Amino acid sequence: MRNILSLSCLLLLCSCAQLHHVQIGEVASHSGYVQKPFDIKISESGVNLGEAAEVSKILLNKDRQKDAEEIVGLIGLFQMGPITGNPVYVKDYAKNLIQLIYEKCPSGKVTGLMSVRESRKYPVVSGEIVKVTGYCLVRKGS
Amino acid sequence: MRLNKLIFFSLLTFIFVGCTHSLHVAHVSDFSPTFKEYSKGELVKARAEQFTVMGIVTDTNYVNDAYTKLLASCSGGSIQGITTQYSTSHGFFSWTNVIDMQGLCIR
Repeated sequence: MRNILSLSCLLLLCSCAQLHHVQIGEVASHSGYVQKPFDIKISESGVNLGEAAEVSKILLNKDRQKDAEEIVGLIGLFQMGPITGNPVYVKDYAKNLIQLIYEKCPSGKVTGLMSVRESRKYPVVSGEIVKVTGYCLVRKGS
Repeated sequence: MRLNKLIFFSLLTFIFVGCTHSLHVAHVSDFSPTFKEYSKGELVKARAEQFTVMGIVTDTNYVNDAYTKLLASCSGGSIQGITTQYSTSHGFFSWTNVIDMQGLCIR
């Protein structure tokens, strides 16, 4: 019970955001139009198996701790390569970005785009986020 | 008991040994000066990959390949709202770097 309580407190208190990449585009203004802000957020769950092994030390007995570390080592062999944030199990989760922008601004009069790649980190898991903010140019009075 | 443990950890390993991916960069370019609606253009895509084994790379020109493919898919037109995504698919002692580009071709 105490272990579960400690783990819950850890999960609630230890979270932070980490920025990986940000880039801004052209900012245009047109007479007769107003800038209406919009934002899009696409998130996918990432898993940090190294942290999972560390957390398992709180919950498991010594034998199982060793097993857990061996499993993480074994899995690590199948997940080699450069990593930004934590790895996710879904490929191309942000592939519909352009369609989502058009949902927010069907006219296509989009300006001031800022693309952000960031992680919202918690123990073991994380949110691997792609965020796009911008302005849709809308005709005055419409 | 030993068998249960083996089954439990085999199951755990099986669940987590999937292909993992990591998205490094996702960027959207400008919509100016064309500013066209989605229905007025054609969605064009280009993708290129670089397979890597233990850090030994194969195709070192893959980004240019994707760029050239994208331009070729909209010859004589303008491309607005280009999304560029750079990611890696992880594997056993190897990985694949991927560049994915999409945009709306206006002719």
